[in-house]
Order: sequence, then C-alpha cells, then structure tokens
Amino acid sequence: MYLPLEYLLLAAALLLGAGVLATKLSSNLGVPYLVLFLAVGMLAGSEGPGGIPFEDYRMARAIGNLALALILFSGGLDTRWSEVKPSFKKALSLSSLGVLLTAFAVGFFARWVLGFSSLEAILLGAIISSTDAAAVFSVLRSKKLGLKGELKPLLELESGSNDPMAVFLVIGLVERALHPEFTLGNFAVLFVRQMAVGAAVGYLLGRALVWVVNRLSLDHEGLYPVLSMAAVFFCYSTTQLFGGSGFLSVYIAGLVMASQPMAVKKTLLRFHDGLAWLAQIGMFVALGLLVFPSQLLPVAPKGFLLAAFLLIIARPLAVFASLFFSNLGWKEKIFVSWVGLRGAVPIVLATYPLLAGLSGAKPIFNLIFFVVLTSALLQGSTVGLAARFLGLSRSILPPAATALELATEANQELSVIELLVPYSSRIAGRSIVDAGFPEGTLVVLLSRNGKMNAPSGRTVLEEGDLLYLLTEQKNLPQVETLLAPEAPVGE
Amino acid sequence: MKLSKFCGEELISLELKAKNKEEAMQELVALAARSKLVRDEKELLSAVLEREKLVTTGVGYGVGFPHAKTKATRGVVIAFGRSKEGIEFEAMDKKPVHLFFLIAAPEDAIGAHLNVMAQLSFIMKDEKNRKRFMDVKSPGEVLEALDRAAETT
Repeated sequence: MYLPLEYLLLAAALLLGAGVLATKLSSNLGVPYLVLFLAVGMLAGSEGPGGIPFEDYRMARAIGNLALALILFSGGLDTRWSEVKPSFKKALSLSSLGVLLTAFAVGFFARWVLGFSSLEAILLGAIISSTDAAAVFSVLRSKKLGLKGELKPLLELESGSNDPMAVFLVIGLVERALHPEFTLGNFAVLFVRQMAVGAAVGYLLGRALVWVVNRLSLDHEGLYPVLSMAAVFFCYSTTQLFGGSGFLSVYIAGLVMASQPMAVKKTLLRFHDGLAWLAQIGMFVALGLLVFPSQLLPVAPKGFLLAAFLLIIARPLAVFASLFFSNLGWKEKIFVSWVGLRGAVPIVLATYPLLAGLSGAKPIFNLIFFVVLTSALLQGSTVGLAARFLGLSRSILPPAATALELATEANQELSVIELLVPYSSRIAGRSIVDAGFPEGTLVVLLSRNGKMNAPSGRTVLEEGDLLYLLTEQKNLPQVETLLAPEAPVGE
Repeated sequence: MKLSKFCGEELISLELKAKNKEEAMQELVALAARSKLVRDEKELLSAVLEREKLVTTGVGYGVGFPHAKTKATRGVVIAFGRSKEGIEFEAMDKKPVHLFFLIAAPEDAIGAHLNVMAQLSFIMKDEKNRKRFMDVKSPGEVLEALDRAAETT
C-alpha cells in the first residue's frame, strides 16, 4: 500500500501531538503516561474513531526495538553514577535472578492454573518477566515523588538492566519451540554471548564516544547530538549483528558516558531526553494501534488472574528472594515489589513468537497486552500512595540552585563580579575584614595563582589576587576606589 | 595548568595598532575571534565592554586583563596584545597599558575562568615576567613565556 508523504506526516503529527497533550491529562487522572499513549493508539486504530488499519507486527517490533534502544541509552546517560553505584549489586541480582524467578513463577501458574502447555506457559512467563524502563523512569522522575534512601536509583537501574535477560529468555524459548534439539547447553551459550558481547561493545563504545567528543572540536554544537545518535545506532546494530544484546550495550554505553567527564554533556542530555520522549510516544501509540481492543475482552478473566498472580505473588517472591542478602527492610522490599511496572518490553517481546509463527501466539499477545495495561494502571497510579503508606516518601527540595544564583535571584540588586586586586593596590597586604569593603559586600571566592580558596575575614589579600565578589551594583564605584593604588603625592 | 593551551599563535599581536581604549578592545576581540571556540565576535565585544564599564580591568604596572563570561565562546580563550607605546586604558594607576591579556570564558566555566585570570595576574605582578613579555620577538615566544612564567613564578 502506498501512502503519499503528506498523509503519513499528518497522521504522525496528529498522533504525536495527541500523545504530548495526553501527558497533561495524566497528571489530572493520576494515570501513567504509557496508558494514555496506548489509549491514543487504540482510539486512532482500526476499531476506534481514527480507523487507521495497522497490523504489521514486524514493523511494530522494529519501532519497539528502536524506541527501547533510544530510551535505554537516554536513561543510562541521565544516571548519576555515584548515586547508583551503591545499588549496583542489588540491581544486578534483581535483573538476573529476579527475572528468572518471575518467569518461572508465572510459567508455573500459567501451566497449572490457566492450562497452557508447558512451553507456552514458560514463554508467557519470560515475556512478562522484565519491568519497564520507560514506565519506571517516568513514574519515579515525576516531580511529585520523593523516595527515601536508595530506592530510586535501585529501581531505575533494575528496570534499565533487566530487559536483556527477558529478551534472552524469550529468544531462547522461541528457538526451543522451533527446534526441539535446542538444549540447555545452547541456552547457556546464548546467555553468555548475549551478555558478554552486549556488555563489552557497550563499554568500549561508551568510552570511545567520550574520547572522541572530548577531542574532536566540531564547529557547531548541534553536530554533537547527531554524532551521539549515530553512535547509539552503531552500538545497537553491531552488538545485535555479533549476537549480543543490543539493549544491554546501549544502556551500558549510556551509563559509561554518564560516569565520565565529557564536553557538551548538557546538550547531549537534552537532545536524548527529547528523543526518548519521541520514542516513548511513538512506540506506545504504535503498540496501541496494533492491538484490537475487542480481542482483549475474551482474555479478560485469564488476564485478571494472571495480573493478580504477578502483582501479588510472583513479583514479591522474586524481589524477596533476589534481595534476601541485602540490607533493605521489608517495607522497602514490598515497595520494590510494587514498582514492578510492566510496559513496552513485554508487548514487543510478545510479537516474537507471533512473528516466529508459533501456534497459540495470538492469545498470548492479547493476554500480555491485558496484563501490561492492568499493571500500568493499577501500580503506576498508586506508586506515590504506596510510598506514603509504607512511610518511604520524603518531601522534595527544589533542585539545588547555587547559593549565588539564589542570592542574585532573590535580590535583583545583588550581582557577582570578578575583580583583580590591582598591583600596588592599597588593600594588598590587608586582611579582608580590614580592607574596608562597603556594607553588604562579600568576598565569596578567592583565587591566587590559579588556586581557588574559600576566604575568611582573616585572609590577607595580595596583589593580583582574583576576588569573586557578591555585592550590590551601587557599591561598585566605592569598591573601585578602594582597590586603587594610593594616590601619588602631589597629584 | 598550562596557560598556552587556551591561547594560540594566531591569537597574538605584538604590535597593536589601537590608539585608545575602544580600539584596543576591538583589536583584542578580533584576535580572540580567530579561535574556533568563539562563535560570535560582536557578542564577545559587547560582553567585554559591559564588564569593563563596571570596574576597570587595567590593574596597573602597564597590564590589562579585559575579560567576559559569555555565550559567545564555547571554551576559555586567551588573546594577547602588546603595544610598545602604551595605550590609555583608564587603568587603576592611571598609567598607559602595554600588555593586554583578553580572557573570554563560557558562562558555565566560572571556575576555569577565575583560575586562568588569577594565574595570569599572579605571573604579571612579577617585574621579570613583564619584561619578558615586553621583549618577546614572536608569537611562539609568547606561548613559551606563558608556560615558562607559570613554572618559575
């Protein structure tokens, strides 16, 4: 089917615009963004008023993978390494053991309670086993939520790093379904390859990009984001081509870049943040278009049972087991269990068996979609409530503006100025307190020969010292006179 | 901190043509604008003049450090200009200025900006160093003198 560009762009514009406006609704309804983006897609889809026919699972999977790569990279890049470092081991345990336990627990339930075949059941478990980075990031980073201790970095790190495990399980299980000779040994090889190649490529490319950005002096700042986007695509595609986990590599590349001092970091952060939003809206809208809401109703009873089991038993079981040796209290563990938001990854993963042509894949897709919606709606809208209920929330201070910005903003008369103590100045050799600065003038910093000091009143000034002065502008003439050399006699 | 890395031979003039303060500023900013880091010469000039209006940067002994923190540059840049005859610069000691170091820094590099300026002013309060800069014969020697002076002062 050929569509003229104008129609495609118009559709994209309307869908993205509706997605952006939907975020305003989100804060009123207390519903996470992803539910509304999905709703936009469903309304625009073939069964909604929009009537856009979209049933291309291959395309949806491609959009999903691309979007997730961009979201994971941006999430990694926006991570403060010093903040997440203490949570690293716990997150690793959650994203390996936790994912495996969730998959098996759900698989067990699907086999014995819902009556799926063994393979379908474990596949279902694997697909739903990872938490969603996009959903967790946007819920946790919403401005209203403050969390005690290391909960925020831990949950973010978990959601960013557990997708590769789920992807590995699903790929392995689909292989197993297609080729019964695919053994446990093959599983092990697949696992090592996915993780090792993913981690290695991500680490190396992250370091390389930092190196390049710091040394390459491009004429226009706007070129750096283009370079970093190219790097993300390169990272994802080469890793995948070498049989590694592309998600793991882009996430690690982002983390590595975040941990290194780098030029134009702010520009890159802002660009990738925007790109991640575009990816998120695009992906969820596409997934919303993909599903047929009428097909969700028949799976509702099983869906409710499965969602309830996942939320109340499987996830807490996985969390408590994975964090058994950690220093977190039971309240923290319950909270971590509750922030096991499912999102795009399970839906994208559910297209794998569909595209592989496995029988029974369609009901699984619809079931997964239903569980994701339930989890996002129920958990996503009550994360803040859960935090307060468990006594884990804390009030948020406004972002720490530097003291100087604060002072100059609160009093428009105040400003900061850098001043050199002139050679043979009359105040050279005097202490700051004796120098006679006008009232309301403060020497905030002092740099002598390129070394910065925090001065006190007793600090003795020298010729050529650089003072960073907080003062009112009207005092400046007086300060200037003060700094000047003694007037030569007879002039 | 090697000061020469903020400078460059193309950012140096050993014979400023300027006759007064305003011309000197224009000439120095034009030098700085040769750096790839400087995006906007006009904006840099107005920022330097703006700062100069508040308190003079002519610190005496024939040395001046005009400077600005501005979006017009992407990194710290030092331009050097010399005038053998001296230029009237409203200096603190009312004497003409011979040696000019123009320092341009981006808005988010307060620390680097302050330290570079402090190091330069520390070096130039030493008479030996002022003589050294008065005597240099080529831009290459200026860069050398910057680092040598930093090491020996």
